[in-house]
Amino acid sequence: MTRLLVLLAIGLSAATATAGFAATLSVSSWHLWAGRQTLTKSVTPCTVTGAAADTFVDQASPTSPNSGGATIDALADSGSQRWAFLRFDLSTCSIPPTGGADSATLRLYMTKAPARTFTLTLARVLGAWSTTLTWNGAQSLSYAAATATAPSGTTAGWVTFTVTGDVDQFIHGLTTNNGWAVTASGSTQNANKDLIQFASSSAAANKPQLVVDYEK
Amino acid sequence: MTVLSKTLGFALAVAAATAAFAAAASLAVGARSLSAGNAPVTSCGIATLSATRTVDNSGTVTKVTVAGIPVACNGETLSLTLVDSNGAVLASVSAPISGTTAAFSALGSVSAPSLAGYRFAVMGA
Repeated sequence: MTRLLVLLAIGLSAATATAGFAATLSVSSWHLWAGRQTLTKSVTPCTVTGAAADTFVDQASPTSPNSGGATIDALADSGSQRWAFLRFDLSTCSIPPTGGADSATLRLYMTKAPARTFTLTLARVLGAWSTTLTWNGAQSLSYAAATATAPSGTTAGWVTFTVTGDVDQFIHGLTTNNGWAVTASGSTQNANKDLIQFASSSAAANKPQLVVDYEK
Repeated sequence: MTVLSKTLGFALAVAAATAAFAAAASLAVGARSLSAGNAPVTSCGIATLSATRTVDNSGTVTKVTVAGIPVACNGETLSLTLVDSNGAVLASVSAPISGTTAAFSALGSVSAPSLAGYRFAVMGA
């Protein structure tokens, strides 16, 4: 009988103690903070007309700069290649670094189309350059992987390249804005037939444009 | 009988003492005790959070970085929700906080033009 009572007492104690600790565990002090941020989008796109700097380099004249003319050229022919260079000033758009590009398009007006369609390739330039750039100087620059390509077509008109990712990086300051190089590739005939010319920033009309939809 | 009485008395005393302790513990989790708000619940000191995003060339959001996280929030959980202009959820991610910024990159395919805002939640003990 004595043993029974002792066991009963211990069992009762254990049962109540267990219940007590289980209840204590359920008490905690979690907290929650919640907030929101609303983005402001551009009502109209920012259009930068005319590049801050543009030029082209010519393999046939490797030490001569070619800026200031009405055109910037691209030519695929071996031995006489031409590469066009452009850099836009985005500061006129007043996009804060906390914003970003929703979409961005580079527009070039082709004043002279080739006889056959060439592939135009746009690549970000990774080093600084100026309008005195020469073919030899362009060989010492580095270039990112192609941002975009576009067919030239065989008739004059606007050629567009999507450059959203590049412009977004420029806005955020993730990469330096050294602009882009435009090159041509394809089946060549001769320089006269294959030459592609775009209106430059010195042209009277149809200057290069960068069109940016953005968030502030 | 004496032994029986002593044993019974001891057992009842132990049981009563334990029961009293348990009752006190039970009271601490009763609805009325919690509503009294005796236990202070504090946040980790967030005033506001802000996010920036990067996009790829197709305009798809590739990364969102949340800034302004107090050091005191380290170890807590940050939830980030991307919403469109109607408040519909475009993507939702969460991760433990480590540092004063948090970067999220597995966001599916959210297009930057459709992104209209962020919702933040920080939960911790």
